Amino acid sequence: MNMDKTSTNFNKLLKSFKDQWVAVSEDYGTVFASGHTLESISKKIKTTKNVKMFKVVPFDTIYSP
Amino acid sequence: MKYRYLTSINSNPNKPHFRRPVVDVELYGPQKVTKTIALVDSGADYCLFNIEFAKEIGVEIGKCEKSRTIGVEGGSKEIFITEIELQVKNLNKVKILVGFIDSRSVTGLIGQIGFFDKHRIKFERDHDAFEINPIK
Repeated sequence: MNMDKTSTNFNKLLKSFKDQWVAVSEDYGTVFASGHTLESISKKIKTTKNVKMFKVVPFDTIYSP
Repeated sequence: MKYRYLTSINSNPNKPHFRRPVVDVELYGPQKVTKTIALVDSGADYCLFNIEFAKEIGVEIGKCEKSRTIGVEGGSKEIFITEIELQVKNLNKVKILVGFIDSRSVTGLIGQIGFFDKHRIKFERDHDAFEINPIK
């Protein structure tokens, strides 16, 4: 069975960017852009290849969306 | 395909870390493709994504079907449903109804309708892994 090896190094983001939008590398290790809207970070990055963008939701607390 | 749980340190140092089934997802809209992450949430009826993704990928909110959803706090919130293509990393693209929601606490949720319908999903938290396979 194949196993996806995506890094779980997510905690830096939670400390520094909670409630913000971020554009990060696939392993969450590099932050290319951050901001208060998705549109703002999308404009800041040159390519979306190998970049994922999301809102840093409060995953360091009990989360029941 | 197997995926690892995403681990987050608990803000309360006396409590254990959180582990959540989060996957990389690509959203294919009329104008653009965006890569993001989503929580695999068996408690969510629809796949839900933050409304900011609709604008990013070129979905016109005005043309979406309006509905409402109720969260755990009991409040009702408007959602805008439309069909897009969605691809979880390492799986095939699927056409699926998704709801877009204006919420501070949602980035992406993979829910029952359209996704759990088409995939067999096995949570193995004791092995720090979960498995998603298309139903053939």
